[in-house]
Amino acid sequence: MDPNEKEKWLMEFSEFSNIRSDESQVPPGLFKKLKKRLFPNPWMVFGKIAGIHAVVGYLSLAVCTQFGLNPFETNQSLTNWFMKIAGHNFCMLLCGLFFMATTYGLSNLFLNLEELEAIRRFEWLQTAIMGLVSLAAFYFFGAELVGTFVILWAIGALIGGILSIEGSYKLRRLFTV
Amino acid sequence: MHEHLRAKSDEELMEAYQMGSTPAFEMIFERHSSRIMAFLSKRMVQKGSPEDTLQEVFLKLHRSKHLYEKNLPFLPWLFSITRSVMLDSLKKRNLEDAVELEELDRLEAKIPESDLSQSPDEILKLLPEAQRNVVTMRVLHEQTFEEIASKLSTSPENARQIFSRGIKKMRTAFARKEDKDGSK
Repeated sequence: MDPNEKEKWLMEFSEFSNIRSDESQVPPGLFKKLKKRLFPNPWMVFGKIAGIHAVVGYLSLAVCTQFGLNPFETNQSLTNWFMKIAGHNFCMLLCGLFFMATTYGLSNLFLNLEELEAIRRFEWLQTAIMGLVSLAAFYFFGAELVGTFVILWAIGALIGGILSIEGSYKLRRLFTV
Repeated sequence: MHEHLRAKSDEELMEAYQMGSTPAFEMIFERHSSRIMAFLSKRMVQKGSPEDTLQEVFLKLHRSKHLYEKNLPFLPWLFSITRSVMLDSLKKRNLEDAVELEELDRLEAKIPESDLSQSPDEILKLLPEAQRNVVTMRVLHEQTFEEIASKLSTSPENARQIFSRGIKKMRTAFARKEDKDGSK
């Protein structure tokens, strides 16, 4: 800081620190507005992200089918590749991880930093719910859910979901001041 | 409000806030919002909204809270944020005013120099004292806005604003004078 600027800073700081708290009134309602902006309701954010996730998740089936669901009737799927390199059990884990990490991660891009913070406060609970809702949706659309595979998929989804929330948050933090 | 937080220092509140305590944030707001508001209101006379800038200050505080080091005093840190947000806001406002300032330059060019040099007192008498002083310092003594601001204990932006209003008033007076002369 150049000396003149430093002197100016010190002068203004002295003025700032000597201001009495009754010198100015903050308009009523401003704090409520600010709090809503800084601490959004995590479940409202969850609703928003769930809506986006539903669309992005559906589109992701074009790249990686889940439990045999192939609405776009594609010949190539990441599932085949996962199966080839790691076998059926590991494939389920990777499918769950891929599904949640990519689709949930993409949905997170539509949130601002404060909304991501709100999600992060309940990341385990919200990711678990999102995983279970996704499984319910697969079942609804005719997927055959078998015990062990479902558990492996759910574990993968949980890991993927947490990774995507943490990744999105750290990325956003880097670019937001 | 959580009563136990009242006894805490600003630095302790910031530490709690960094750990995610919303009540700690509420206490920081309660303690410092009026001070920030008063500071902004003084510096942002007719230059944007102090209320909006106050919100921006707390938004920046929120987004930078992880950068705060608890062994450093809180107030200078808060002041730095306040000052930087205020300057950004004024800069933004000045950019918005750029069109107006360009117009002002054109108006200045329109005023015949002879008028200013021949009868400055007469023209300057038309202006209120504050505007008269700023226009005199700027036009007749060719001082910069920074110099004017330091003499008047105000910001350069404010000095520019006062000058702008003075010039506008003079232009209106010139226009009237020209109309009168034309109709004679």
